[in-house]
Amino acid sequence: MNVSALSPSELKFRLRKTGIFLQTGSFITHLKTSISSVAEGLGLLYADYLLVEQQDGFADFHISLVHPRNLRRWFKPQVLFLFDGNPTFKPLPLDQAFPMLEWGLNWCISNHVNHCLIIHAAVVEKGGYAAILPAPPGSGKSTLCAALVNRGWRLLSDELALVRVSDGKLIPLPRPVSLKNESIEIIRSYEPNAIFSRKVADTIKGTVAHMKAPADSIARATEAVEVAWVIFPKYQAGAMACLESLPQSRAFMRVADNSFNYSLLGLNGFKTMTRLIDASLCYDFEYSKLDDAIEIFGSLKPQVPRR
Amino acid sequence: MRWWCTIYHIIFAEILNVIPNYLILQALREPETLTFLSLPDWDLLIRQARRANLLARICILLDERGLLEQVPSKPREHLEWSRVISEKHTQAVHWEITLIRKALAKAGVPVILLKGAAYVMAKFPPAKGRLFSDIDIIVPKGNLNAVEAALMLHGWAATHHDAYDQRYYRTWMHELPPMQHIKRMTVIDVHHAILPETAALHPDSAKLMAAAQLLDGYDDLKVFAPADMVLHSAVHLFHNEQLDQGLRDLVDIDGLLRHFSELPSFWHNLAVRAQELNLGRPLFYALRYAVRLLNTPIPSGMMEAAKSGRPNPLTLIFTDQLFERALMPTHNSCSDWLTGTARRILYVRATWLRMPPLLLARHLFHKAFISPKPV
Amino acid sequence: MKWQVISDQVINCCSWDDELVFYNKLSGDTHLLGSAAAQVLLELRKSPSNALSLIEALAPCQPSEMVMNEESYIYIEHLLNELNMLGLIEFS
Repeated sequence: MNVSALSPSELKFRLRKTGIFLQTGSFITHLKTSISSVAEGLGLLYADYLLVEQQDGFADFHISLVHPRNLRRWFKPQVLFLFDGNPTFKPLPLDQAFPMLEWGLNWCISNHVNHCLIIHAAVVEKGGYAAILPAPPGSGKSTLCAALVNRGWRLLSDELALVRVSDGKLIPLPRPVSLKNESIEIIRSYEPNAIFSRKVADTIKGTVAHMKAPADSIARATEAVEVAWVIFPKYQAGAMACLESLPQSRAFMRVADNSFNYSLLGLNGFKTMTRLIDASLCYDFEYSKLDDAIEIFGSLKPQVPRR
Repeated sequence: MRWWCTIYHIIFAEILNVIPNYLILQALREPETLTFLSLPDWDLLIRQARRANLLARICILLDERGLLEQVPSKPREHLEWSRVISEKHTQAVHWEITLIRKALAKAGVPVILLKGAAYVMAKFPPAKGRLFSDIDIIVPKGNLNAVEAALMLHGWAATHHDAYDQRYYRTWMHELPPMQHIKRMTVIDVHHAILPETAALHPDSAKLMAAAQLLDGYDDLKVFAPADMVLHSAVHLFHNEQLDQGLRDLVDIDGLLRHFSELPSFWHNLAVRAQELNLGRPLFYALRYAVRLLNTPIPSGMMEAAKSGRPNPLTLIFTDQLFERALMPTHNSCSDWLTGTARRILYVRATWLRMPPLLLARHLFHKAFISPKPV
Repeated sequence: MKWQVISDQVINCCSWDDELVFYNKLSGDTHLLGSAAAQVLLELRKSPSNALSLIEALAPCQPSEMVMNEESYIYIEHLLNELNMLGLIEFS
């Protein structure tokens, strides 16, 4: 049964009473909250996601979003994210509850999932090959990712590239794409049919909104895929779209720098990264117009097998 | 009204001799039974174990018995995730010790490793599946300055710059303020005794250090002798203010006792040494709760000998109720309405054991009203 | 006395073009070696050597002015010390 099978009031009721068991990618999250903006965001952006029945009984993560137990309950109310009953971050203004859910779900993955090398990157796929787009905040990675998935690329993730240690494949975790500030309107105009959560202002990242993942990407969330390209995007106003080859050894170090758990995985981290870089053509990519970027990406070809 | 309920509950529970039977305890006592767990039970066990920092340990317990393949795939994934972390920690400890040895090579001071670092280098069972936060060593008090200077020369810097904290550690406690390496951010605790100067108990640290044994293959690294290692572990646990690692510490004691029981005369040495160092009380508690909570096999002769450290019967009723709650993981599923109170009482008890009443009052006042609070 | 690779460590190296990425399994650190250091390491992997022999062996790859002078000796020594500090080679 999908989330959309529940009416908004049923969803709110379940979230408050027993919680829901939500499947995203290959992970099951038990989520409980009485905060209505979270219920609304879930109903809108997670409509196509599977709800697992409670009797199956195992959730990877148990999280809840609650009002902190202090005077802030009534004066400038706040929201607290609890991981299995323990707060993991400082409280945020109540208005930011849905973005906090998204950030919290990312935290759950990046802090636990150690059978994968986890890179702070977007991942998109076309024709059986994936492109990893690592980038520090502000490089325009999410905007580019949102554009690509609205032009025929499959979304694996907008934040977390999960590279399986056992075979080097990327495992999908398609979830709402996080956009901020000007990017929100840019993508709204670029794809008028895209579904957005309401904008939340004054967060630590500025004004944020989340775009629903394409239904096809959600439906194919069990299809792991080989990597073919590692592309470091950089939005530069007025720039011509330009792919510049990056030496693989340099790409290795930069991707490692953008990883959550490269160091933690030790020798397996090194081996997984070696395999990833070996299999990839690596580029720096500068762009300003989304259509130019789509065209360049469309012409990408995987490398001929070397090793 | 609640006071009478407490008394009633305590007496009733003692009569029934109710030992908690949480999943985490079942997993530690009888890992073989885990193959029959349902998925919801696995869900709960994983959460309890993660909170207790024992998830990787359970992974290894199952692996050693060839049972890991029988664990359903989802919980097995969680077990393996935690094993990755503990393997990284072990690598980091080995490397850190290599660098500590280098730093202290010229100081001419014998380095005696304590607790986790000792278990790893000596390859004792408590090392398996362990997560580490810092490295503890003990050196003679007279060498503290030389050790501190050598560490600073090699990149460790003092923490706790607050004047009160500096005095707390240097004057009253049994260690330097923790030192952190400026590049690696790793922390080393340099002790000169196993209990503070201000504490009521004064085990002779010189005796402990004199009996320390060189590790195989090293000429500059030592660990406590087996009986001393157990006694130190007991003292550390039953004098510790914070018990959120309590079950893990008890599992360490269980692991050490099982391992050392194969040594000839170990139990006899343990009894004699506890008398000699006046550590009969912490040893009594260590053995009692290891048996009650983890079914540690201990010869009846040893339990008899340990009785000399037993408190009076009424105190024992209370400490049973307190420790059997406070040693559980800080997870909702392992607590009842008395657990919070038990932890608070044991916090004050541990601080009381560390310092005389007037100093204690002053310390608690300072902590409550003057010390900067964590953000 | 010659420099030689620590085979246990050198196994965790991967090279692309003329650079090399190395994982030190003792410290858990990862290092990028530029082409000069990478070449020295690959030479030592073939057989143990000293600074003078290395300069000779690497000469065909260097501009001719660099061959056999004090500057190149100091440079090679510097590279050898770096590789030693990283735990890749030892002097024995």
